Amino acid sequence: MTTPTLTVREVLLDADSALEQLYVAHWRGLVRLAVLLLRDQGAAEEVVQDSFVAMHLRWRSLRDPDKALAYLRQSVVNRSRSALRHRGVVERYVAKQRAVPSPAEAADAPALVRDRRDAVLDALRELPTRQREVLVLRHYLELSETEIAETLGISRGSVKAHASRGGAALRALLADAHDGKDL
Amino acid sequence: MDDLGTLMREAVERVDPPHRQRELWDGVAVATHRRTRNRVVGGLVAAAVLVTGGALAAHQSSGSEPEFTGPPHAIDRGTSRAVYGIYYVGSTPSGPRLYREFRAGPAKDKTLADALDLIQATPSDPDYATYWSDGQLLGATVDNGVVDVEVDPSLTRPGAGVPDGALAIQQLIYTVQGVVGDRLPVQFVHDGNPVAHVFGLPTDVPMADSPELDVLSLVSISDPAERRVVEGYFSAQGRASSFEGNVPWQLKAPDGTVVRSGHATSYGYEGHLYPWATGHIDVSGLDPGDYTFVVMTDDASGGEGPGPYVDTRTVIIK
Repeated sequence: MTTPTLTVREVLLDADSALEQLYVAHWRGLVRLAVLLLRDQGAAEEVVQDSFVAMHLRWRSLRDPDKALAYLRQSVVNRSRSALRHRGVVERYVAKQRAVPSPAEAADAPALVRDRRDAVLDALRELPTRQREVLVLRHYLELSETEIAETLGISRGSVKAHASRGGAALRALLADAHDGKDL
Repeated sequence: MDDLGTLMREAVERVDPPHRQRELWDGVAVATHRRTRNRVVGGLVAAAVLVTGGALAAHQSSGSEPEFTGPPHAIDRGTSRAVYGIYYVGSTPSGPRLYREFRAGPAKDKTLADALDLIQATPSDPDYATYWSDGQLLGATVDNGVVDVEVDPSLTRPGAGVPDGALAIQQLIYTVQGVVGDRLPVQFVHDGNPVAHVFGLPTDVPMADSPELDVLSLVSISDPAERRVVEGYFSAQGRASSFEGNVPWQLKAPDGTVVRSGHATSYGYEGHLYPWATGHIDVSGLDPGDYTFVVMTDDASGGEGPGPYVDTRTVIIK
């Protein structure tokens, strides 16, 4: 009797189902998270797609949907950071900046709201990477300081410092963008 | 109020990316293939294990870490058992086809011999049956990329038969391929020599698996296992090739009333079977008893075709 080799079908079965469920539930939310970090929706979709593939490969050590979601968030943040360093993304970002509002933007959206959306995304792009990450995790995902520290692999003290400095910087940028108008 | 949070949510509220599941699964296939190949080259063997006495469920089999072959540690022996995906025969609108049932073997390490024992045993689901009788399949080895299956000579005689010999052979091929984790051809042998006929069909050369859509039920349940006891909620998963990936399901009370229903989706439906999953099905508030979980293919013919494929499991609500 030769010892059999892999049991691939069984081992992968549940990873497939987990991926399927998590994808349906979190695809849009994670792309939105990546858009806040990257500005560019195309690059955001790539980053999230890659994160789901990576999660599938790691499923055996994750097993739990909550852990998997934490892993996905961390992966999206890390991959967004890498993508930003990538020159191509920066160039695409610049091109997007000059383009008309994205197709997803409804024509009937009030001009003020459109401006405000662009202003927020632009202002986030102006911030140092760590500050942007901390602010988005804190205000958009509403993670606790501890969760942010775990996601980013930094101390809680650093989270506090980045949140405080980043929050002040973001508010100042937004105030400048709208020339003191109340957002 | 968190003004920055509100602004951020507003900034991305119109971001509504289309699902890109086909690309996603392409990416998974590429990544998995790469990893699998590396692992085979590295000599690693993944043994799916199951905690003894636990419910037989696919997610448990896949939750285990890869393990090396070799004698199991004494402390592990008897505490966990390998899980096999055994193919059995059940009825469908297109005649008998194969359904996969996950079953625990007797030992921690997965072997072809134990898989052959299971395929010759009675399935757990009463809707399934096997075409193989105890004593017909004697052993199997992998040799030069072919699985040699040793058969009892009685099988090779003219007149030895089952209702569908070709499906019986596919039942065996799909099962052994699941164990070896590769789509290797199967050669029936006796005393080391190929046998000319099994169930009256020519078998002098190695035989390959037939396409899934020709031999498998187009919908099947991997989890829950038959007569699983659930409390509060459960979820179901399996595989299907159903029109537009739509996989309707129902939960029926002991009196046959439909008490829960919904649709699972698979990301594809063409060419082969794709995974589907229901997510949580809330059964709190239901009276205890034996319920039937039913999943089916979407009948796109409007009743003119052979009708939907169906798989069922008895689920015991505490």
